[in-house]
Amino acid sequence: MEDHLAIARTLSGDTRAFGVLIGRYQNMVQTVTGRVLRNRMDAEEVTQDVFVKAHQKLKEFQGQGKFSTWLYSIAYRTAISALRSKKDAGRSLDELQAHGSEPMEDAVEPINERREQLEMALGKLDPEDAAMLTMFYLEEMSVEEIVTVTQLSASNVKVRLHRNRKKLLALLQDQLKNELWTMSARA
Amino acid sequence: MDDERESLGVNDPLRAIFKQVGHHEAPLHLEELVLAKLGTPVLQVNAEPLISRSGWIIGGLPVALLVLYALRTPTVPDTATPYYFDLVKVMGSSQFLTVITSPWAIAALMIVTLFMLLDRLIGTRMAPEMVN
Repeated sequence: MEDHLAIARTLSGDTRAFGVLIGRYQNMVQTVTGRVLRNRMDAEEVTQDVFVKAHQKLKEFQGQGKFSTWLYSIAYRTAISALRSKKDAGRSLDELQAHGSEPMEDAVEPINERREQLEMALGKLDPEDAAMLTMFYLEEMSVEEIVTVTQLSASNVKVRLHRNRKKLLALLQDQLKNELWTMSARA
Repeated sequence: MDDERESLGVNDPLRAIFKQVGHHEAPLHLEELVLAKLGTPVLQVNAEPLISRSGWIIGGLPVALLVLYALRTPTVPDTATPYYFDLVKVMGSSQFLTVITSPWAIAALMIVTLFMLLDRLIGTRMAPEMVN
């Protein structure tokens, strides 16, 4: 079922059609909440909230852009807001970033070594920047789409992408050593 | 836009790493969890006062008249008062009037009114919260 059809059915009261959208985008949403919050439990909870919010706001989706970008905006903003709430609750952003340098026990499933290495390196970046790199490299979003999601200016997005790309490369270089350049040559 | 992507390194090794690592796994049964949470809006539709506006008018008018009458009726029935006897005739039983004007009946009416008000209050206050 196409996104637009699932959206139309959901709006006409077919809640099960929304399940199709959940199934399709759940990992994408979980990735952004996980990259921002760096705690699986929190990320899972926020992921649920994201879909609940998306369902409630579905009428507002005009269908002009991609549904995934619209959903990503909700996910990103909800995760950032949850992170700020945590900060207000006593866990400062700095503290979270410091924790990010060592992967938290429940931060990510140790599926493989590379994932751990990437999460560890991303954990050393600002959560917003880690999410931004994910949008760019994993979701293959354009700068324009990242602007829509983050509500930052295009120049700001570009600068941050450049700066954090360098940082991430430097961080991964220590871990992956020559592997990075082999991959680069292949690409 | 292509220039921007190129300048940011579209063929950069980071892309390969991100792609290789992929997405985080969403929690199991996320769909069920979300749909269960979405079950809440069904309640919001029903979160209306049990007694509708017309119910208030239909039920409230006789109650209001009875209360008004009860307040205007002397505690010790004054058989000399003409309107009292007229109403007794209308109601059909003086015993009924004795019961309805008793403190117990008034208290019962007040409790019912209180519950109706409470129902209205909960209905109007809770519904917007559930929507949001």
